[in-house]
Amino acid sequence: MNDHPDALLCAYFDGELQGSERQAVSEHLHRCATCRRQMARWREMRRLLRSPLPLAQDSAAFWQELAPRLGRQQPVIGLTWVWGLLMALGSALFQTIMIGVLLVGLANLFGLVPASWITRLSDDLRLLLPSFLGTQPAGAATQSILLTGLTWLLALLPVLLVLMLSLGMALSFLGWMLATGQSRRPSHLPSLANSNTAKA
Amino acid sequence: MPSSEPASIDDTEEREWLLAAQKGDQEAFAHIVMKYHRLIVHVAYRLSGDLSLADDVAQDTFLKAWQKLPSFKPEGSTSLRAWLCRIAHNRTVDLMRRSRPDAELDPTLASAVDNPLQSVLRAELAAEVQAAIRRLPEVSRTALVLREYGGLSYAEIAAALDIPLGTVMSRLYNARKRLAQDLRHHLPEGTAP
Repeated sequence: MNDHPDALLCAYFDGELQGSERQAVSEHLHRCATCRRQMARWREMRRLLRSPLPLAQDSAAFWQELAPRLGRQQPVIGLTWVWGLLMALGSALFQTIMIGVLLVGLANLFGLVPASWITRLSDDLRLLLPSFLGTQPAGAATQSILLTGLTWLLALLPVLLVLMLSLGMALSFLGWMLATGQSRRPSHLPSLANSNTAKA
Repeated sequence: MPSSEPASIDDTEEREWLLAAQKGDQEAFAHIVMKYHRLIVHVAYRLSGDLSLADDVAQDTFLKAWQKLPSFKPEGSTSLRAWLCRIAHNRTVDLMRRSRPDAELDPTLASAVDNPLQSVLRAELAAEVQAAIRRLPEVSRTALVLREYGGLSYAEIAAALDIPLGTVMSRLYNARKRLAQDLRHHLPEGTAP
């Protein structure tokens, strides 16, 4: 029967015990010569383990070899960036819609949209819509819907242009944020060269 | 000429180097490398008994650490030291499995001393200690090396190896018990382990 707190003694030796456990092992050590000898042997063993180790390379030379191989770090895509991206895309979409509406409105205002286009498209869609909706077209209301559709269709080209511009702006914005996110070493921390000079 | 001594930076400064290195500052990372290089080589060597392999492990450890640094979060029992030791341990095990299972012990363990006889004796003793470490079961050896050479706390070892705290305790106890048996001729008289 082993009455010695072996594993706890090991933790005590490493300074890993706190509170009541530490107290209990400490009291046990006072009355147990066997465990005290065990601790003495471990202390000596630790001394043996700390035998010097020659390094094949000193740390400075090691760094000189390592530095050129570092390459790129794996970026962290955090939640902040996801939100940033979503906001940029949302902003691009909003701009696209607003500018598209503006352009089509201006085109209509200056009569740049031929009336024949509207009539022709209205007629075509009047035939197509009922098959999609399962209803009969209802005169002026349908005409209004078709005109809206045509308006958006005519807006397609400028909208695409604006969309591309907006995406470009969004990507530029993200690039700028990534670039400004790069660290600058805190000014109070010395450079490696300086600290080595100081040590030398 | 840069010093080969580990950089003497305190914890606060280390945190600042870490933050800068996490954002791509290589010079900040150099300080971290200089501080932990010796420790990583030591851990890898004590695990493997192969100095050449230990050098390779150190290279791989710091390369991987650099790549993964932006996502590293020092919290709880995951200190930078523990994280590096964990990478080094995994890489050592990986390389040991790929290379020969029983690596040759390095015969030049002793530090350079002026007395040749002392040097030989120290080399013999160091080789004996290393051989005893190598004879430990892998799980006990890992716990012992991370504790004695990595300087990790029990909680850090538990986190690095993904094992309960109680297991760390028992593995360390078993390692010391076995080691004390193997090195009994160099230890004071005591209980039969």
